[in-house]
Amino acid sequence: MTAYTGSALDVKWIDGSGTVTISGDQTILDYTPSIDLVDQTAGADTNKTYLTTLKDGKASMTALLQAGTANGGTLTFSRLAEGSSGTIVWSPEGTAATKPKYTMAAISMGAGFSYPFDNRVEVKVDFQQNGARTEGTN
Amino acid sequence: MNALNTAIYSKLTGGTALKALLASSSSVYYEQAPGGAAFPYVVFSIQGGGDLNLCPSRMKDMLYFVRGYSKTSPAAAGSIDAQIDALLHDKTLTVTGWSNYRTQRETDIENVEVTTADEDIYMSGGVYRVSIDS
Repeated sequence: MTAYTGSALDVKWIDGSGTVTISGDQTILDYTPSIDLVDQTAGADTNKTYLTTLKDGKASMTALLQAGTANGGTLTFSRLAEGSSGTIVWSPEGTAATKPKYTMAAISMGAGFSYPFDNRVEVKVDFQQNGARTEGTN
Repeated sequence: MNALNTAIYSKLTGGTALKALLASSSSVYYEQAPGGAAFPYVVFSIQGGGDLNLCPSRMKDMLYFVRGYSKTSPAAAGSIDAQIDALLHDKTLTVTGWSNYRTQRETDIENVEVTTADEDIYMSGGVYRVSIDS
């Protein structure tokens, strides 16, 4: 086993206009899966127990905003306006054959900005999972 | 880093008000002044910094110590420092192959040194954070 960094990460967004690579200026991509739970605790139970129901997940990508460009860099705002639906595909180790790839239907929650006085300007886009997440290879 | 050193040298030697306070229009030196250099003069050097490894784009965050030296008085050294500040703080450097997105003063430093000939040499300057993106 070999540990690796996120430096080779490739992220694509696929929507009705086609496929666009949204990695390149990113500092981090987070993905957090979740699942709904139903409390099934009853009677003389002394500990709570749950039934699992529906799977869910959220992704979030942060990038450095690029000066002097209308779309701010590779994290293309025009394609990621809040409410935009598509598919996000991320390849943590790059896109070479056999490298892992994750695919997830998603809704963009829009681009949020942070403008610190003495530091780099960042943009962050959250993605709501909108269906199944599949794991495969390039 | 040669490209950044050249950019800072060009910015400092391009400052008319700064040059008017120095022994000559080229009294700006990297790392240290040559032996016997006439006062007053400016020295700049790298204090630290390097690659950020923050995103796929190559970015560097460097700290430069830029200061003026005078044999006259602390105030004279301070006047040189003020002109350095006017040229660098929140200004943009032209760095070949890179874009400079931040140049800001962070630390003020002043001291006095006494030579073996019992002469006082006053120093006044600051540390500047210079950030560049490829």
